[in-house]
Amino acid sequence: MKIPTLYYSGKLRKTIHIITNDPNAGTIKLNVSADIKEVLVVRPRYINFGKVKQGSTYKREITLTNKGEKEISITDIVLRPEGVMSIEPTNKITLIPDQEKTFSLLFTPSDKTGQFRGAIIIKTDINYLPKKIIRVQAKPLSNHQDKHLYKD
Amino acid sequence: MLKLIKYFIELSVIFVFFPTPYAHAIPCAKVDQPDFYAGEVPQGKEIIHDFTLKNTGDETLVIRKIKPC
Repeated sequence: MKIPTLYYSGKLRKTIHIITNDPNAGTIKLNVSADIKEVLVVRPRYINFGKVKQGSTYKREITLTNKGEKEISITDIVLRPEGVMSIEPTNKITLIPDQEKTFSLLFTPSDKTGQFRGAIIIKTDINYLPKKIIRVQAKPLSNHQDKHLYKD
Repeated sequence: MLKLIKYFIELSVIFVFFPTPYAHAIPCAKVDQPDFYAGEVPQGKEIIHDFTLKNTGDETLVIRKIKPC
């Protein structure tokens, strides 16, 4: 049994049901449990800017904390899509155990309306945790929609 | 009543002395340790564990379905 743990934290419990032709066994249950420890804590886990105005810039803070026992290097932070988001500072950093670092995410919606979906990919030097992803979403409004919204 | 007792005695004798033709062969699925606690696992690390399913019966064991929940 293999269980990826990338999207879990805290108590994890998984069960597999096996159905056989043994008339007395019924359904056999195999249980795996674990306590998943977040070594690199990233907060917030996702960002929703809500309704945003085109051309305006919005800011959110992102905090990374090393809750492990070894140093963690943030080797790269990739923003998807490029062009509408930026992050500061951009230099590579190393977090010693219990160290916390705050980044600023700047988001400037483009002229595209509808639903915006992006991602911040935080790359690390941890072999079993090569990246952590923060999902970003927003709803950019056109200037017309924006005027209508703010009149009400 | 005597007839009935006689019938049961005969039946018992048959089961004691000739059990094989009447025994129904069935598979028997056994897992010694169906619960596994992996302890504290760092997020991102895959949990890998092997469970052993044994057939202790006298008929072929068929796994009909494996359903992860």
